[in-house]
Amino acid sequence: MNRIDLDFTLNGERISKSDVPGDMKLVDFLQEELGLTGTKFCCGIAVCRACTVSVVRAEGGHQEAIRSCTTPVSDIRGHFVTTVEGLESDAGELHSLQQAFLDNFSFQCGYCCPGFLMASYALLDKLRRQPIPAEKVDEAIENAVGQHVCRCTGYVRYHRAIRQVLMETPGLVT
Amino acid sequence: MIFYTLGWVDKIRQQLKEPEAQGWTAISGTYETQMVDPMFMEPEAGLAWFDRSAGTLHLLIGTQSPSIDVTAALQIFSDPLSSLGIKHVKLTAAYPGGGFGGRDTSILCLHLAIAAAYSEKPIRIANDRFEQFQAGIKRHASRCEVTLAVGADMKFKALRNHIYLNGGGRRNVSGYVAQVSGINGTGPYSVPLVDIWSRAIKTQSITAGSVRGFGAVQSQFAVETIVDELAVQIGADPIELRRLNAMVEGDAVSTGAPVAPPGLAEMCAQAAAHRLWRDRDAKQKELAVIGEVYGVGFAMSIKNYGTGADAVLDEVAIDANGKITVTTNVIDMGTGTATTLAITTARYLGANATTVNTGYLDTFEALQLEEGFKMQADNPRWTPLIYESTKAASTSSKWVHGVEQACLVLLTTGLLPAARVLWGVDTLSVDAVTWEDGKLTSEGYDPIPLAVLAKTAHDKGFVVSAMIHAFFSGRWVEADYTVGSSKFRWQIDALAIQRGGQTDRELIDRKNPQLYTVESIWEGNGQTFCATACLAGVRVDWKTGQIRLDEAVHFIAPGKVLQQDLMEGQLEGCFAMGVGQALLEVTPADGSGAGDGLWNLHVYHVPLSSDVALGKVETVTLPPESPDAPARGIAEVAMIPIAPAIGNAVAHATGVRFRKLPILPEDVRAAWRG
Repeated sequence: MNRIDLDFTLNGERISKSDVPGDMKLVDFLQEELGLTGTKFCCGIAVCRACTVSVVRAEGGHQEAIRSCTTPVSDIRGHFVTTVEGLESDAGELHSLQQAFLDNFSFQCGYCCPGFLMASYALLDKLRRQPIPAEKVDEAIENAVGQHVCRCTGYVRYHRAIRQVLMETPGLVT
Repeated sequence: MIFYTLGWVDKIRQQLKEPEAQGWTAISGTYETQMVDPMFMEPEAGLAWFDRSAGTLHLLIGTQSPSIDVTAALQIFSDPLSSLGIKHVKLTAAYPGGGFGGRDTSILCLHLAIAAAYSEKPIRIANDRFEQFQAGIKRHASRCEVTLAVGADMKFKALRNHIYLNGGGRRNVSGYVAQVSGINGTGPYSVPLVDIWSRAIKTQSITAGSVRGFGAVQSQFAVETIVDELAVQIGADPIELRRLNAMVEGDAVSTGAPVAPPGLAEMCAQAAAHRLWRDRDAKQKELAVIGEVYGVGFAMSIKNYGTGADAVLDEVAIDANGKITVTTNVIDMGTGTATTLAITTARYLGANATTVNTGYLDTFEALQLEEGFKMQADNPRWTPLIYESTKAASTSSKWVHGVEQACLVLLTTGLLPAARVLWGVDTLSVDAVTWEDGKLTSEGYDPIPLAVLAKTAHDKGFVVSAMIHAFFSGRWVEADYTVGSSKFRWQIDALAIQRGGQTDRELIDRKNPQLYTVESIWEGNGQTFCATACLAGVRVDWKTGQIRLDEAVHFIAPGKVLQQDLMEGQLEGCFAMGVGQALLEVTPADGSGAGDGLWNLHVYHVPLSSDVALGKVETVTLPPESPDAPARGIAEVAMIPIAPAIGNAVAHATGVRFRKLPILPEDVRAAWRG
């Protein structure tokens, strides 16, 4: 088995670990090695997107939503990973997306929620760099989270909450 | 509804064979629904370890049936000759990532228990999704053989619905699923002559069990499809035919019980007047010009909520700062249960609970309940049913009742005595006080904040915690309870209180109880039902046969709404699951299905946001029919009309009647090819 020295940034903190199986999936590394259980495992084949985390490949680069259930840890060496545990501010305030999800009763069992949050988080970063007109907002949301599976809700309140944040956050919508 | 003996059933069957002789028009068909995976997002997982020194087997599972699991685990080691030495099983219920029935009496618990019993080390079983598809409980595939007869007056005369459910190879809750499919086997209609027969069949398929809709999804797909077919055959408007035959509140359901829910006729009226229905033929013609195949369908349904005989365990405690904690045996699996119970305390205690502990069992041993099928009138510890699984959309009606009763105990024996002390009065009844902005008020006295009342109750040794068991079998058991020198009558069958400054609980024996057994439901005809409907518009791609949901209206008559967002969220979830049932989800019941271990979400398609007409589904919530309307359980029934409404829309669009779910593009193409 290919064992590696793993070095990456997770939620703003450097993680260095030696002798890690290089093909270990990121979701397993987060859960089993770091005890971060916010990132969820569902299908394990990158279809449902419950395990989505956000990654920046080089400092200053854009946030990209990736599926941690099929991403080997060898792929994230040197990268900057944000998980749901990293969304809260240093002052302990919820991210605007988290607050909107709560306010809109967006999730029910909650298992798919971190995936929706992280994909939306990456979308926010994209729109900060490249704002879109208001009439394109629904399409942008569908592109960002349209492949995410939620079994409980019917998606209505996820989309409503994301839309609310996009429209209320300055600089995202022209 | 008239009951007949078996001889009469034969006559009904004979009459349905010769409908013309009765002056009826009859139609027959066989309707099939598929095996479906509940596909809750978190695959089943659990931990188990055996503490040999204490003889305790520990289980930690994300389950919706902790009470039943712990009993089952203990049972398999109950042989007195067993050398394992397992004396106790302690189960910790972990918060599950969805359930929908699929975590009800799952085999995972037994696998964990057996593995841990023979292991020196702790055991962890965590299914991956392939394994979950392979081993997890499924919705019963079904076949319904139906005949429906209508008279010249457009009134239904007789209905035959023979329901076969594929139970798989291990008995789970198939017997109950068959029962519920039969109870709901007439659909939402008043039919004078009914021949319903439902049965779960043992097969080599994956075990089928409890999944949202619980048998009624299957039997009412059949009914709501054949009603549509009949309407077309006799040239009637499908909604008008339904309206003429819909149960009205208090009509008899299939069991003969006069408990039909309100709302069906109103839903028919609103749907018939809706532009989606009114303009359906015009829009069909208009879209046909540009090559679009379009249709609109309607369906409505009823289903019982609660299991009929329901038992709940709840404790409400208030600390000296006025913080309220609810502890309960019910599970929140995305059903909004914790939130609902948290806000339930406000009615009698003036504030929401800050903590809700779900899935607790051991705590309630303090009630020292003794379960028995036959009534033990002189035994104050006897109850017909100590606990049940979390299922049957019963939070809103059953566990809310339990929490409310516990709050009422706390108010009358804890907070009101404290108010009497603070206001310097000798008597003060529940009716004389109200809560305003978290303060207890009574005319002529200064309002008292909850925290002050709570502190006083703790200091004076008044009641600060009430633990209850309540049992429902058509009606709630009720009894007298004497606390201190005062006697109260509450709708509970067991009570333990804790006083301020005390650590022990005090059991209060019930007196003069009005008791029921699990059988009382049949004497009292106590099932509780809720009504729903769906109007759906679809477009069908004439080249690919792909069916797209275009627009829909979802009706519900929930009665009292406890929390609007939670109620609507359940409706939305039901709608999406109904779309999956209609158009997307299937795994063959034979060896080529999920049992082969190769199934996952790449081949099993659950609805995505683009499948559910996001933003184009209107929700119509009928207002409560009366000021004291019950809060009905809606999270199962609301799914039922979606698939038949879509099927009926596809029939309107394509001119082809599909009697089997799901309706896939290849089915449409094959039908068009003829």
